[in-house]
Amino acid sequence: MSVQLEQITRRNPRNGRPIVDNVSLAVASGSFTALVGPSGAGKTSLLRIIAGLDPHQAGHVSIDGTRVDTLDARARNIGFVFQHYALFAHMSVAANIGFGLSVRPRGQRPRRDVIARRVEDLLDLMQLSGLGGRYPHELSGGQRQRVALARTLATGPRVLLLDEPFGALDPLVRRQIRGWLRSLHERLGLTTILVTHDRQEAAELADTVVLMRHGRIVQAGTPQALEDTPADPFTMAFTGDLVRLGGRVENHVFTPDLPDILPVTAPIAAGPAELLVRPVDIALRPGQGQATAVLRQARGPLGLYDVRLGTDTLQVETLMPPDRPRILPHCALDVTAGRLARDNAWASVETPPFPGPPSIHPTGERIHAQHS
Amino acid sequence: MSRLLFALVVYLLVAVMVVLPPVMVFAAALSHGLRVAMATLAEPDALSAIRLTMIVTGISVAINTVFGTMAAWTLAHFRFPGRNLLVVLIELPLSVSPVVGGLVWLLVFGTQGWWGAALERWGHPVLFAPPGIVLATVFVTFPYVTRTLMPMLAHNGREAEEAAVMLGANLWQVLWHVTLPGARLALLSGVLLTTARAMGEFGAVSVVSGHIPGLTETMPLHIETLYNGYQTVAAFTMAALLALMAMGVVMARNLTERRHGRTENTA
Ligand SMILES: Nc1ncnc2c1ncn2[C@@H]1O[C@H](COP(=O)(O)OP(=O)(O)OP(=O)(O)O)[C@@H](O)[C@H]1O
Ligand SMILES: [Mg+2]
Repeated sequence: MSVQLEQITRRNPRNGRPIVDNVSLAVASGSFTALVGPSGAGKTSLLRIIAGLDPHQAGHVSIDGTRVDTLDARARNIGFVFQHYALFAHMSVAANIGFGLSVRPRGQRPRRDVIARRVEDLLDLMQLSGLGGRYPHELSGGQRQRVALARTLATGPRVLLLDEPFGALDPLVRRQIRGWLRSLHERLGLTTILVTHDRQEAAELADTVVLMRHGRIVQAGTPQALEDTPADPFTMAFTGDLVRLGGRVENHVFTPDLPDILPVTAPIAAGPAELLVRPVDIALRPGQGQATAVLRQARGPLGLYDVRLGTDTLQVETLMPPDRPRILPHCALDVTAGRLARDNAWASVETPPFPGPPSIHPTGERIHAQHS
Repeated sequence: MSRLLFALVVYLLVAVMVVLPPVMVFAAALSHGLRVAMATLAEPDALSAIRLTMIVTGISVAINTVFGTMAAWTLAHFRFPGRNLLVVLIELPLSVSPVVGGLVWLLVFGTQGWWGAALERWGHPVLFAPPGIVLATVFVTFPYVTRTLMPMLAHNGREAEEAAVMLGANLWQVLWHVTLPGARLALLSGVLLTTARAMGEFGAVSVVSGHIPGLTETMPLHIETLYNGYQTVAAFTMAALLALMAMGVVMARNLTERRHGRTENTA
């Protein structure tokens, strides 16, 4: 089932300020969408509007092309998994899972044994066999999460909304459940929208990543599109590790404040600016500067180098030259792959103004750097 | 060392202020032996007072459980104009002297009051009769169920209720299958508190009861009558019984509270 949002606005009932601000989004049937953004961006609010739990003051929600703005939450046949599971503490696991079927109106309610069988099937599907008689407080966090998911799936919703469902789980369990959720999504042909704080989770799971801030959608696209063409500095900062280098632009050349970073051409007016670059995109250029790179640790073909730039030290992880030198003297850093930011304006930098000798790793360049 | 000292002071205070009075009451009750004490409870007026107290308590608790639950649920779920005022009003009986509560009913149902004369002519007087005693008790004990239930419903239950709605449950199914069972320990605790308070109510009941022995005297009122009539053993025996009943209820409440604390943050 597809979900369309047209210019949805929800205002804070107390002060009238928009919580969700003119949001439009088309979610294709069968797609997996990740909703990301900083705390307070309005992710939960948007999910609740789609579910029908919160009203919106403007715009339309459509499911499969039919407007559902006035439809009750319980009539939308949407599955919602809450952040803190929201299991019924006084009911057994089986009763929790069977709840949705047992509250159906008399004519549509399956017989008891049919419900029981469905619950058993779901317990198996969720790898919870044998736990039907337990109570929620007798389960681990990961098990509770799966019970919550099973309970939601029991009524056969076609749209699944998940609000930070893995937030409280340890990283290992998180990873397991993540892979398993994706396969479930495909097996059941669901349309899934997942809120997460974890950008890696979003990138691994979703076909489309939607980045929100201040109630608005900043950028929506494939994880690759967000990585390749971030809409603004905020998006770039949100979607991956970042090194920020301050500096100045004069005559269309950006010169970083730190020494031994090669200047780059900058198609923006003179003045202060910031260069944003992924640590993996920084290259080491021996023979072009005064910095010394000292090998801290070798990991297979990769070397972790400390590069001292004035008073700052950058750690750079890069493919080592074949002779695995412990010390690379006279290095400079090449940040051509970065982007220049001034306030919210945005520009790619271009080829370095002075073509130099090739980098120490002509192919398969993988560098990791961070401030330390 | 100072910690021990403080503990000692607290022990002493509790001993003098809390433990001593009931012990004295029991001692006075048994001063002529258990048999004499029990005999005073078998007096017709005493039996009638015990019965009336139980009936009034039962009815008041039932009424306050139903209305208190409704009030708590409404206040926890809906935002509407005047809601804060309503919360204050519900707590009013806690701060207003029970005598005032009794006097209000006197105004409404007294022969000089609004409906009193009409009810009297109809043959169902409210004042100086059990219905008035129930009304006065309901007024005094109204806040307890609401107060114990409301925070519980407002904080712990919202997500579970919304989950139930998303699973297709209607309002009544949510209330019956999710909200009330989820809050049952808080509800029980509120009900027991109401019970303890209803059994012991003196001031408000005293205003509307008329003190007719054998007819409109509850246990606390009967204790006063006995004491004023120099029937010390009978007065203290009934007081001891009332204290025992209250202690039983409070103990039951403590048990539920402890269980409550244990299972609260589970799901
Ligand atoms: N019922 C409400 N009344 C008033 N303000 C609200 C309400 N619900 C949410 N807000 C406000 O709306 C904004 C968005 O909240 P929301 O919960 O949607 O953020 P979020 O993106 O889910 O954040 P998080 O990642 O922390 O969960 C916040 O500023 C919040 O304070
Ligand atoms: Mg949220």
